[in-house]
Amino acid sequence: MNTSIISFYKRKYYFHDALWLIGTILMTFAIFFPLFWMVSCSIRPLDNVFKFPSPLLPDKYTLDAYKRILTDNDVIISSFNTIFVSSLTTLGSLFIASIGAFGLSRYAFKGKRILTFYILATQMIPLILLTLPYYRFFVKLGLFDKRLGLIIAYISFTLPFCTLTLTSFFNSIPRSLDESSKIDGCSPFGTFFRICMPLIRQGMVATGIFAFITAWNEYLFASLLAVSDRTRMLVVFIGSKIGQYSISWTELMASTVLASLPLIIIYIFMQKSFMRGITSGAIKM
Amino acid sequence: MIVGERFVRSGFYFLLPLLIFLILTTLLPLMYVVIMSFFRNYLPEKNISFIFLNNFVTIFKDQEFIKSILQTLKYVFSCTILHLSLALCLAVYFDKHKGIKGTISYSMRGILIIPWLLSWTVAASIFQLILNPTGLINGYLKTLGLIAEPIPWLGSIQYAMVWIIIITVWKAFPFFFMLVYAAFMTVPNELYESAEIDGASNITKFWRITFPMISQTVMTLTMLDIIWLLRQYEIIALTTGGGPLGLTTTLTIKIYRTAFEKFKFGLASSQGVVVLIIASMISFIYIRLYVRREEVI
Repeated sequence: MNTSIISFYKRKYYFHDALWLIGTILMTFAIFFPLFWMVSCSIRPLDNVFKFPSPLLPDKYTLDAYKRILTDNDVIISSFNTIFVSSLTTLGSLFIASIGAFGLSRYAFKGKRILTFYILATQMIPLILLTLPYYRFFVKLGLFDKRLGLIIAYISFTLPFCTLTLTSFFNSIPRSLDESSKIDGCSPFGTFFRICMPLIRQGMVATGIFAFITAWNEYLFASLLAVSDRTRMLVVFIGSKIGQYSISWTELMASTVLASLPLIIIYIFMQKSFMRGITSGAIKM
Repeated sequence: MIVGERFVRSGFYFLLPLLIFLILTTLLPLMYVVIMSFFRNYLPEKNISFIFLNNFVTIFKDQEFIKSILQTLKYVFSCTILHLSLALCLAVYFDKHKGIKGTISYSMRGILIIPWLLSWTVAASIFQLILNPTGLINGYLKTLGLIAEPIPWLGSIQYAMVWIIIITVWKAFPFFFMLVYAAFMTVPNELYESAEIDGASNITKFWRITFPMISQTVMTLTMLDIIWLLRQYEIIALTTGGGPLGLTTTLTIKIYRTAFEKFKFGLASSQGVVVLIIASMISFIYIRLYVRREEVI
């Protein structure tokens, strides 16, 4: 084979690669454009947002919108509420789910199959159905408009996923470890806390992030069950801003950045565990 | 079971907190909804009265309820089809490359997931801004001379549902892409190699090797997607609010309205039971798929 044919093949090969790369870049651009626009609008003066034709990058940069929202009492309180509720939801559902997952993974008992189905099925309940009884029960129990009420609701949303994911992580720990710890005189709870828990750290991180994100982003229950200024969540604050007649767009975009940035940062740092948890977890492929 | 009676019983103790919590937070409320669907329960009235199936008769006589079922079907099926076909296309696009392309493909999986992590509220605000009558899309279309007057996209009869579907697809397809891509990675390379020796084309390889290997995943994801879309509330409530003329009022929005704007809890419960029946049928298929997988593993 002479050299010209080889170089022709090579050129064709490079051409395909270049096309592929351009396609990738275009796709990334299309998918990230809305997020880029959000950031871009949050750092420009208000009169720059609706200029025609809209410049993709602002002509003038200003952090005024951020200054205003970060000194706004409503934003501070709702950010605190969001962090508080999300963190406690994460801790609560990790605690209950890890104990339950250990039981599901390690023991055989009557009704285990039905229990697994039940846990799976609870993941499938349309949330709107639960709003009616939650609203009624919480008003009766005095949990209405309390952060604790939201935490209870969110734990019940995240619990099925966390339990099933952690079960699959526990299943990957060899049984012989439990048996040897039992021979050494460890109680079942000791085995759980001292031997198995440290081994599924990656699973805990993955499900923890999932629970945190779910609680952070949930809107329907937050807008129904925590309505006063004192208990409002960040997403509800943003939602209430969208509904207003005249919207201050730069401030709205700054607060959406505020609501998104922590999640993106957490995700970037914990990406590997999170991916493994999601793909190996309850959605069982 | 490991050994002995003691361990078996403690196995149940481990599950006790989970069980109690789930019964209190899901089973009990669900039973409440089902029971309430047989009652007249209008919030301003003090008393509730048993009216058996009258609520169901009322909702099925309600034209708007029937319409909302149709809107839901339209929304759920368009989104599901788009989610999965986009996810499959992207997964094929990024599948099994070597060298730099492989590295880029792999990191794309990590990056593209970001829209899925964010809140629906965030997605709603961004698109409210972009689709605003004086916003980006209208601005560019006008500059290009494609439209004479700005179109209020989210308030227009033709486009409101289309945009809701676009926003949903944009926000949620990365998740499906990630899982389909992960499934692609599990197909052993030897299969492709031997197919190549036999002279199979890329299309044949996809339909004869890749697709059969991942069809289970795709089915499971379809069921999951349908369930998630059935419960979708945020994006519609925060963009169109169910309008214009109720053309984006899905079942979820309809139930919310009946319960929390008209305060007819009994009626809303019976509408909820209809959704529950639909969701249960789909969940049943999902659980069957899940169990079959479990047994193989």
